[in-house]
Amino acid sequence: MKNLFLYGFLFLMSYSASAATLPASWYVLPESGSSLSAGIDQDDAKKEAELAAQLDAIFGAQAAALDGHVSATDASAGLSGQVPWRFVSFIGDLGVTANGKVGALAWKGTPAMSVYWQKKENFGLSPAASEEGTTAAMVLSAETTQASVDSEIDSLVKAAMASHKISNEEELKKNMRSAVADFASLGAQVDKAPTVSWDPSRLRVDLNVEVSGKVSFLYSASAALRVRLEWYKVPGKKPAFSPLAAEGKWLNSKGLESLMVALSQDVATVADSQSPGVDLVAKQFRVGLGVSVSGTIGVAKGTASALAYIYFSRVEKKPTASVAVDDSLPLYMVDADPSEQRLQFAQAHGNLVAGGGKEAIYRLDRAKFRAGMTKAMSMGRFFAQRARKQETAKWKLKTVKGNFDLSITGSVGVVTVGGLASAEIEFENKNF
Amino acid sequence: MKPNSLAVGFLCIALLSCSAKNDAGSTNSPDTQAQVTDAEKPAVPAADIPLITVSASGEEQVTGMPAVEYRKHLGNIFPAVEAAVMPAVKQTREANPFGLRTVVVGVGLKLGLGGSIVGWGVQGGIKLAFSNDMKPSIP
Repeated sequence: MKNLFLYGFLFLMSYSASAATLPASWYVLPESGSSLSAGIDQDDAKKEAELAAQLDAIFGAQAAALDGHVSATDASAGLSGQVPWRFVSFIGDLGVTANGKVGALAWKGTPAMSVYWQKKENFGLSPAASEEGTTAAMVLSAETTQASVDSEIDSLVKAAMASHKISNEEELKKNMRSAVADFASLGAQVDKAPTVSWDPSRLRVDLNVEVSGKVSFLYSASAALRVRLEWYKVPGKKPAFSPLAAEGKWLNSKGLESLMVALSQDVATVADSQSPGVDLVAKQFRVGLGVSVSGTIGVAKGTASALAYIYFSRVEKKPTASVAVDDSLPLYMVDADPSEQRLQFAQAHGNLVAGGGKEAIYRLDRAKFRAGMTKAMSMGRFFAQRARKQETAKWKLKTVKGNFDLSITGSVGVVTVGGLASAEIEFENKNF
Repeated sequence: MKPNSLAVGFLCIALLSCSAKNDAGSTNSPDTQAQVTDAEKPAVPAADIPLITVSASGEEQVTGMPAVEYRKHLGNIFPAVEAAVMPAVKQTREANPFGLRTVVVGVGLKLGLGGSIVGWGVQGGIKLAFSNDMKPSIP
């Protein structure tokens, strides 16, 4: 182990400004006020070529290291047919600085792109029915019974108390139940949204649990534990307002259904226009949800103020052609920490809905949002295609997740290391 | 450093994914991809790798490292983290209703003055995922 430190990074060099730079149109938002946003780079093609070479160097080094690694735990299925513990995936984050420099993210900062390498495996076991994986501690849907919810909350509380990080079990249990009810009241609305070829399929929250047993939806740096809950839409089911959901405080909130329908239409319009035959496809789109003091739900401006995340994914059995877009449906953004610059920009552009107090609500231009999403898809695919070129005999590109900042106009840019992402697009390698 | 203490340290910064499901029978479809020959293996490029770090005060820094050295460090990190994590994950209790399925370990490379490495942490830009699931779901 010490050798790792002894190797050190002693050969690191003072680095000049030779890192590749993104074209300004990829990351500068209109409201930033920067002169960079005034126009399109004259040398975008040159920058893209430099960026490609830069990405080839990063991904090539990562792929070579993975390919050279001989795992002590490499094994096929164990004697009992169980799958053994093993090193399965490497995730490398890429960052973009405020002035557009691109590099491997080493320490802190918001990643612009996360590249998931996964080991090719063949355990020789018989296939089972396909099952969508989840990382949630608790999964809910309209079909979840009250008894099941109570049982799962009990299990969660036991697990939390076993960590010795929480001091008050009764308080935790009471607050957890209340939080699950609030979450269910949001989930019940997800079930109501009419579907097109892209569907609001999942709702996720990472609850922050304090030592005292207090439970919060919003990110807290002092949280002792984080508990992930997910709500899945049950296809073909009519909305079921369970007694649990009826207790939740967001059952009658404004704007969520409109937001889901508008986003579903816009994402479907953009994603379904992708060229056929491309093996890197947009699989999932995610935005954070913010709630204003007045109860309006919109896209959260930055993840720090997101109380939950809503996922849109392609419905395989739905036709992909001719999605009707109704631009009269509003798409709002809730800004929990608006800067004076953003407020002035929104006022000047006529899309400030409410701006008093400590928050602001903007109405996004959906045509600009669709254009921004198209651009975001192209950017994500650019990164993913560079990674695919470096695949090895043992490791392949599985997924690329791109993090994007949404402009208050609706436009989209790659998030910088010091920024907060409003949306994430997940691209999947269909040929994995 | 004792492996166990290191494992505890890593697990403190790991994201744990738990599931009560037993899917030992599930599987990936057999890999039918053509094998890449030695000649096709990626050569380590000669270019520098820009490493981006953000200080506590939010200051960004871009530091260059030769690609061959970056690859060498990754090659050292993989077995070190693996050796620390594997004994710990194998100690999980079978009776636990929330069976441990996936562990994601974040490794940050905190660079000090002169380019020396001064720390590791979850906020780093690389993550290693370990799983005993046939179809691991990586967050």
